[in-house]
Amino acid sequence: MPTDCVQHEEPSLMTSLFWLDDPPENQWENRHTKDSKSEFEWYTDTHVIARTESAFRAKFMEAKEAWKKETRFLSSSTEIVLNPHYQDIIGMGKKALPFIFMDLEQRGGKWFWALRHITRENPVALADRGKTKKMTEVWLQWGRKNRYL
Amino acid sequence: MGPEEPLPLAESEMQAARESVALTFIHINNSFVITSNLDDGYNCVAWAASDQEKTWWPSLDDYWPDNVERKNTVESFIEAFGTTGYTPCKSSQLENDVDKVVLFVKNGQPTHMARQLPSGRWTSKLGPEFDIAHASLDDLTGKQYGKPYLILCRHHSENLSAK
Repeated sequence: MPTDCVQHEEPSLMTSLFWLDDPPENQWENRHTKDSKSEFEWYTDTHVIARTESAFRAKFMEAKEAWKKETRFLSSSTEIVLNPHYQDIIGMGKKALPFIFMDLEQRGGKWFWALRHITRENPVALADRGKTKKMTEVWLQWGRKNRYL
Repeated sequence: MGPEEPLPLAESEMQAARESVALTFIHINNSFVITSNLDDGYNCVAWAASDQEKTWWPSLDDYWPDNVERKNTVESFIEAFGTTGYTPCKSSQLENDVDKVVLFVKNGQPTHMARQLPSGRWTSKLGPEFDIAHASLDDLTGKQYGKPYLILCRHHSENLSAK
């Protein structure tokens, strides 16, 4: 790949996921303009971030797959969310949100408990509790509004 | 598609799904039938209450009838199904004009519900996956759901289906 392509590439969504705990504005500009860093530093930083991102993603995917496998036939919502792998995902905090929203959008699933605990928000109206399609829609809107999707 | 008719799946898909059920529920009789597609829009309790629009559970993210305590206890389930006309009864045998549902319990806590079909067989929604029709309540006894613990009955004249 020509070096130019790497140098001028915008941060991918996946790369930017790892800065979600910081104020989202101007992170890219603050950290990665050519003015503030040498091309070598910029290139190295990008690769460190990519490796961290990749490791986190793998950790999330492993926990998610294990959770889905172990709770596949469980009926109890209580048991589903108390599964240790699900609790691990909650423990990952806000960094897990883009992955959770992506999975919710693509495959559905019982992510509402985790979303409430991680975000400390609940955009679902009391009257809509249990209406999975409606709850999914409301949470995805919330995710888009807060730039997790 | 009726509650006892098999889902029209390709043979390999059906075999894989049946194998996964048989691996999880080791006492299941081979006569069980997978009768629906995967659908996480409702769960076993909703299915027992003939509701395919919601998930029912006494948690903060699920539907639970108004004025019934959101607690994962047998009492809370009796009260919840009381709102649709069910009361505890003794026999799981098929009776004319009586709807029957059964609550499974593991370690003292509700885990699953099944509903009796007009044929006397049972229908269960397996978690967020598919519905099955099965011959007996013992089919689902085991590590996942524990044991059938309580039978709830409703005479057809008392159908107060939850809105």
